[in-house]
Amino acid sequence: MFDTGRMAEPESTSGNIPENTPADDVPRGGRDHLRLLGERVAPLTGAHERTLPVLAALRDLFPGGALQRGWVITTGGDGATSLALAVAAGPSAAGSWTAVVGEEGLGLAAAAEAGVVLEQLLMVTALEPRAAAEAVAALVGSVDIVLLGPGVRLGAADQRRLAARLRERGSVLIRLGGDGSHGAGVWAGGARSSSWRVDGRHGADVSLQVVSSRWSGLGDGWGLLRARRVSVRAQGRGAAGRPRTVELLLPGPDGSPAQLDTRPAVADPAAVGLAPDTGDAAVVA
Amino acid sequence: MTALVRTLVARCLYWPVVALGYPLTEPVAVVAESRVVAASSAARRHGVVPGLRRRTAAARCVDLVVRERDLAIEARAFEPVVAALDAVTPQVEVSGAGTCAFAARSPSRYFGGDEALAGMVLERVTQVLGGRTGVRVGIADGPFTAAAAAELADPTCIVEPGGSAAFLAPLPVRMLGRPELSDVLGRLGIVTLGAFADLPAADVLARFGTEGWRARSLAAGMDERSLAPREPPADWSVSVEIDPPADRLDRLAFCARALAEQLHRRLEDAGMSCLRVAVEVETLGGESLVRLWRHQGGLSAADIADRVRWQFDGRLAGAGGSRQGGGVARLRLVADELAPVRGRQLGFWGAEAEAGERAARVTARLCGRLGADAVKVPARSGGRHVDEQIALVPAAAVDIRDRRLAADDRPWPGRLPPPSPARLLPVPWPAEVQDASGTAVRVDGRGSVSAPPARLEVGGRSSAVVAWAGPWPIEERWWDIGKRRRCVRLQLLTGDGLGCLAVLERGRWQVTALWD
Repeated sequence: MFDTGRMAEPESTSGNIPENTPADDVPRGGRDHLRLLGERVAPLTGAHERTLPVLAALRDLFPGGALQRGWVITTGGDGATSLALAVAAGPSAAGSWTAVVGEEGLGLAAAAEAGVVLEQLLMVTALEPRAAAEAVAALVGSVDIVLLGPGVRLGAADQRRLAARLRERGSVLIRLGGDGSHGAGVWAGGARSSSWRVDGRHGADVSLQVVSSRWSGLGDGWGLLRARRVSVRAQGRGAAGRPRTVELLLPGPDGSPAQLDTRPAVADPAAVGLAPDTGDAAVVA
Repeated sequence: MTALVRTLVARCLYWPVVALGYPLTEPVAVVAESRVVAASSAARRHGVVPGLRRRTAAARCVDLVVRERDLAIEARAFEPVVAALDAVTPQVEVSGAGTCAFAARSPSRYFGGDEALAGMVLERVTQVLGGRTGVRVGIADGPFTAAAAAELADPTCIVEPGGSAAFLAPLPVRMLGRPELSDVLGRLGIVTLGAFADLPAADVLARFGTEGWRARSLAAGMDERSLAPREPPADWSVSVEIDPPADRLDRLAFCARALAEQLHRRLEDAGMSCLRVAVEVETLGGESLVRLWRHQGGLSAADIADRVRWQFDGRLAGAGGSRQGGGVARLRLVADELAPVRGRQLGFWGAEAEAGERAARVTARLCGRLGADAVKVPARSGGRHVDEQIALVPAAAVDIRDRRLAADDRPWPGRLPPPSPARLLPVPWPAEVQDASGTAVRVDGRGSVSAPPARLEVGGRSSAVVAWAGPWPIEERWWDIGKRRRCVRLQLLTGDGLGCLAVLERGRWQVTALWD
């Protein structure tokens, strides 16, 4: 009763070998079968294991659409904080832990809206500069994402050691407002000195810069800040060397970073009450 | 059908209030989940009754003291009462806040009848309470009837054997303690337990399920629940004399580690884990320092040793003079709160659990090096202001490995909808919000601005306001002169693209948050 027509076909004689196995491999015997099977069931380690996922809206900013473990990423421009949270949100949603060092003013509600899992978030606060370096060194390798506030200064030697440790342990360091043009930083009194230079010897692997931003939803006495259309430029070295520019909503209407919706309702600033020609609400850095 | 257990129930009145140490002459209400669960007699005179919402209670009685319910304190304060009854019977069940029960048959025979037993229990408990509150004692067949008898007692009430059904019949159905059921029964016109008990059991089962059927059995005076007598508390403590006294932290930590492991072996044998540990340190000079450490996930031996280290570290750092007390001569660990070990569910591939374990380890390490408050984790706290919605709690106080934050589902009228500001300013920036003519923008009592804001000035830097919305007023705790807060908020977007929240409070503008 098992002798059906299909059993008579030559491809099916190999039983457990999946159907798309080349027919000429089959007669070569057990060893090849085992090798083929081994390749099929081998866990995808290596390159796959060395990356962390990012949110769909940010995928085009990074080569391969993922964060490489061991990277140092800096964010800057208007919306540097939101951008850092958006970068951290992808790995966090996939189960990674995030530690925030020296950033007491981080809006945790915004972090949650961006997609950072608050259950897997550690805040290390109120630190002396020396203790901050120590804390970061301890956190690297224990948590996947370390978000470093703009107030934490690290010396060149510390940076070098940290970069080596990051590569070895496979965590990702996000340096908030690391390149000085951090919008809120300017307001707080003067530009911050650049501590992780892209072109420096121990620089950041990827530097994300918000080059233009435009809020929508807030009018003249009415409305509410609803979404911000930003253009983010990514520059880096190695695989991330080619500059990339991506437009996205950061944050989107529900607080999470969103891919750009090209419907005119959002794309046309006039429709949301901001004067389009004066460019008052837009900043081009 | 098993025989009904003759039961005595003793009830201390207003226990949640009394346990917190308030006299009943003061208007005090104890709340749990924003509902009043107990109110002192003084508060009741003002109409504060259990079941009221916290806010309504505060409105009914102006000088009402409102306290959160603390079950641990209630249980601890009740311990002397139970101890006093230990002489009557060794098997006392603590059934709830200020209520205990025991099987009355044997003690009643020994002490010469139910009346004599009730009188003696009343006398003993009254003596322990020392006039802080009243006691009611009820004896009947089964715990439910006995509890109902204690409810109606003045100060004792004895229901003759076999008289349960007749005793319960005229009582209202809410005595069952099932609000939904009594609500439905009330609408069906069944208001007394007798009427409920008269319904055919099969029909009750069909309409209300097993739960309802059980309630009907109770109403009919058939309560077959057996009492769970309290185990006399075991002594879960270990101590060690350190000779010569430890004067260095590492030596103390070493002793603590060994002691913690000893305690753990004992707990493990009993299948228990420790949720709270009391660490008592005694110095050579006789100075002693006790501190309680709590941990949701159960304290391991290493966790306990860590906490001893922090405690002594804090002591060395805190009081400069206390070093004269000499080294630590005695260390005692008391497992203060225990829970059965349930084991920990690991993630399917172990990866997530492993990430949590790693995070917990690094947290413990950082706490050890930088102080117990260095690492914090978010917890939902609720509130209208942007900085109130999520609070930070020390990571050492919770089990960070498998936490679930409460859902953010409570309505907070006046809260800003998402997107939330990405940056809150720990120290708000003093600001000036000016209209087109350069005068400061004011908000009147009706919540409208004097003129549209045109410029925002922060720290000498002035910037044009290109879009704005508001003002949104918040008036909080207006009934509490110390905590009242009244402010209005404006959302401003400046010419250089900065979205910020400007708050006007006590006539001053401040920027408190940035949509960075």
